[in-house]
Amino acid sequence: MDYQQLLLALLPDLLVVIALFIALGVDYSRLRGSALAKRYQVACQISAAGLIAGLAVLLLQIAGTMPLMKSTADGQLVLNTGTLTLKALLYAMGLGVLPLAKRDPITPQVSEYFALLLLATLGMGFVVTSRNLLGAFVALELVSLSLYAMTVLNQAKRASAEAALKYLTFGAVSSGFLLFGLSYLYGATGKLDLTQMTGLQHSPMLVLAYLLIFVGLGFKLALAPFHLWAPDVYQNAPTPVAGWIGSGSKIAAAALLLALLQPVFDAPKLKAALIPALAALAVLSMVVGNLGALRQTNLKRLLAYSAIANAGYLLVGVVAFSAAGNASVIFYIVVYSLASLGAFGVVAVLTDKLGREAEISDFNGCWNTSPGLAVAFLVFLLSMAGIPPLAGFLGKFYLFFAAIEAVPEAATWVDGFYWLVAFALIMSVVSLYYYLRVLKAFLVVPADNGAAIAPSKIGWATGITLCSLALAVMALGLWPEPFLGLLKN
Amino acid sequence: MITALTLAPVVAAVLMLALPEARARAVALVGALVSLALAVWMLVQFDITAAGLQFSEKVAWIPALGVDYFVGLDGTNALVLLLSALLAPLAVAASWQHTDRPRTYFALLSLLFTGLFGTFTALNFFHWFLYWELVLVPSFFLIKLFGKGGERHSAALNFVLFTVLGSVAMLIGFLFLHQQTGTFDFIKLAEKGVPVSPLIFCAILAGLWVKVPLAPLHIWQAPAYAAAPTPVAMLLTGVMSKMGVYGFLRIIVPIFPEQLKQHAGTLMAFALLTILWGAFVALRQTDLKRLLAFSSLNHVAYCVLGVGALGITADGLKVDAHALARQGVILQLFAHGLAAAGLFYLVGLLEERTGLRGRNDFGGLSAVTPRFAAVFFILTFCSLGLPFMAGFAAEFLIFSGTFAVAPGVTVAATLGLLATAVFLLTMLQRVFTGPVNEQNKSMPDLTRNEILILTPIIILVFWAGIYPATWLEFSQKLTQLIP
Repeated sequence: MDYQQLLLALLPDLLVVIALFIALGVDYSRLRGSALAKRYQVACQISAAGLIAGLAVLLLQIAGTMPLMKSTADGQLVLNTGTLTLKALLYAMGLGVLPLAKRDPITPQVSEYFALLLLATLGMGFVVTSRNLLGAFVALELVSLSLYAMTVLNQAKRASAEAALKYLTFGAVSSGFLLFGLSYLYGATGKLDLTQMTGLQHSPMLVLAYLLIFVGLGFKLALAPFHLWAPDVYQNAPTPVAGWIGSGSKIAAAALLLALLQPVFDAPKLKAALIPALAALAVLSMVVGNLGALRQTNLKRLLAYSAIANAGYLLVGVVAFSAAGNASVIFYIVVYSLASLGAFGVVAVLTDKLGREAEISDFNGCWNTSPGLAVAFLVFLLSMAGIPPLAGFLGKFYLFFAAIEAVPEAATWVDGFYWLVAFALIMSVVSLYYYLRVLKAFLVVPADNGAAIAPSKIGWATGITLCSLALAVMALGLWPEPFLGLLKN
Repeated sequence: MITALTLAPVVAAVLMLALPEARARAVALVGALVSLALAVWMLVQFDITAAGLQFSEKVAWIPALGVDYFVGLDGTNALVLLLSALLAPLAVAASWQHTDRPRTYFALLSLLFTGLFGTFTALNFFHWFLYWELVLVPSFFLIKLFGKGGERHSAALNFVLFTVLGSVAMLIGFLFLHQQTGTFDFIKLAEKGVPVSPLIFCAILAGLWVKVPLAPLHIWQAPAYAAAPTPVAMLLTGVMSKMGVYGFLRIIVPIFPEQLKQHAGTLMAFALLTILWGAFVALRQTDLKRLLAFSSLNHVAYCVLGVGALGITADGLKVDAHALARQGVILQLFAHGLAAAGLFYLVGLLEERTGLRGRNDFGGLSAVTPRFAAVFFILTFCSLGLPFMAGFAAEFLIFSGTFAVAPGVTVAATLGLLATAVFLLTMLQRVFTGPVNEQNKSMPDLTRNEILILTPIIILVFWAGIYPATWLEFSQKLTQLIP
């Protein structure tokens, strides 16, 4: 193995790790006893510097100016434009979470907070670039453990601890399932490298392996019926953390699901056995998510149910088992995550001063006090609802397009995925209702007693984050070609 | 050129957000006028002897999905594009006095214009559908935020839910078409002539059905029209109701000729049902806006009747029934758009001045406001189909076409004409004749600005009635082309 090459390939991650240690070190030594605001400021700056440096190297790698090995022998790292783009995107989104985390000093353990954020980001970067069963699993656990810990950071809040405990126990069990599934997969094929698994034969063991994997990843993606943790965690985790759970970790899990299913592509019988399971998960998630969201009054809880529903849509693209299907799934999850992070960002900014979890009615009259935030929220929610010309529309269109194209010989509604697509479409009409209900509070209803919720100072970093997220959602809707081109690899 | 026309209002909308609130209306007007100027210029340059598309633009957009950005103008959309480009600045002018959150209002209105222009010019399903849906967003908010009455919330929601469900069905239909043919291009799809299952045909039909609307899926219409602010109602009835019929002409007729042939009878039956339903329900309406909404339902259904006639073989007839029907439909889109928008504007003025819009709340207004009455009479008579006005020319063409191929249905449809005459004349009688209602004695007549808004409509109504050839020329070549 060429260690110099490896070092070069992992340079972005190394930079982030260095920043992580500096942040911890500075916080423990020089800033001991300093004001909380100051410590948040410094930790945020160091973390941001690390991520920016990492991102810069990643961009150089994508542009091809750095000589780069394509992959390691065992598939631990597969570096191509597609995986590197996802990694860069995750770094950029992680960068966006930092200013949100800095706004609200929920915990005195400042540097741990940021270190965990960086660790989660690192883990996500590894998940999307790894094609090795063990490597990907370990990376996914890195993400999960960081997220469990971050959920409970606000120790003053009892509900937070309860949510974190739920998250941890469910998460541990599901990781067990995932690992069990991966071990069966390894047992059936004798390989750890996903890129080398070819010519899978249909066997009960493989079906079982994949079903276990669906349970494990279903938890990470918040697919019904493995979604029970999501509403509590979304509601009670610190808002920036909930945003990161609802965006970055979703991208990582979806990318891993696709990578794990890649060997099934040319195994028709196995594929036929897995499709009903995936379709059932999709339908169930769409029903639970959309109907559950209808009666929520807490905004973050509503977003959790919307995440469940969106994971359901996502599977419509997965069952296509085609190149177009994979591209559509990645595109959709990216678009969804951008909008989701943005929505959580707006909520975080607006509820700084609230002191409790925000009800939808708390946002009444927001249009009058902070029109910019209201417009940004409009963009994020309409994108999730799939209203053109925002990216969410194109994402859904692409998913359904891929699902329909996948079975060209289908002559009836039952053969192809028509019924699934029709169901998803009807469910997305249902979703309009609750998205519009939230937007109504933001844009239409006047504040109850004349005092609408108002943010403390937004700050330039948060402002830039929210603006660029909104712009990205619009740009990907109008001109997705460059991004799709990058992913194609 | 077409792209510039479509995007001008959006640019205006973005500018509005940057400029002071008081400037919003002026910016909106400029955006709409730019579009109108471009539309007029294109129609003047339009080569009526050439077959096929003109001013077309085609750029690869999302190759992964087989989507091109493809727009163009031909006989089918030339007139509706002019109509929408004309009504756009008029709608802005009609809302000149609007003071409630003007920036939001005019930005939404401009967005609506873009959606409409885009729908009428797009020739690739993807962005056609994008515009088709885009129209909903501003309309929903315009009705909900700026509409009148407590009913507006449910009206806006019903309107959106109905249309979106229709669109969903249509989307599946087109995904199927793409899977079969590998293209979303309307023109290419028409050339390929795919065999499709009746379910798919119904799915696509459903989207248009709701939008036209045809009975029994029209129940969203009257509440939405009644609740919408007047300028928006002008656009709803004048232009948006044309989107559905345009969809029939652009999609059903060229892409599904076989299916249309098979189901022409059913389609005409439903059109007939809608015509009669609209007319007879309108007889019982006392709210002027609801009355006009049902009248609009009835008039647009004539177009669908004409479309149905295109599906019935006309071999061995002395007249070219298909050409007559097709030109009639296209002219009816134009004529009804003008008259209905004008009438909604006038009723809106009544409401603004008196706060009333019941059919029986007025009386003797022709003595109080002679100019207002004159314009109202002209537009009503145009709706009625009085000779020398646009409505007559269009309906005459449609009926000559349909009578040749389906005399029974046509005769039954004339019953609708009769009922139309009754309710429109009753409206005129109750509002404008008889004793003057005390409280309306001081109602001001039309101001100069209002006359300015109405003048182009009146001129075109007469022009299309007395010399329809100017307008029919655009679609002439089209009818010769397609058998």
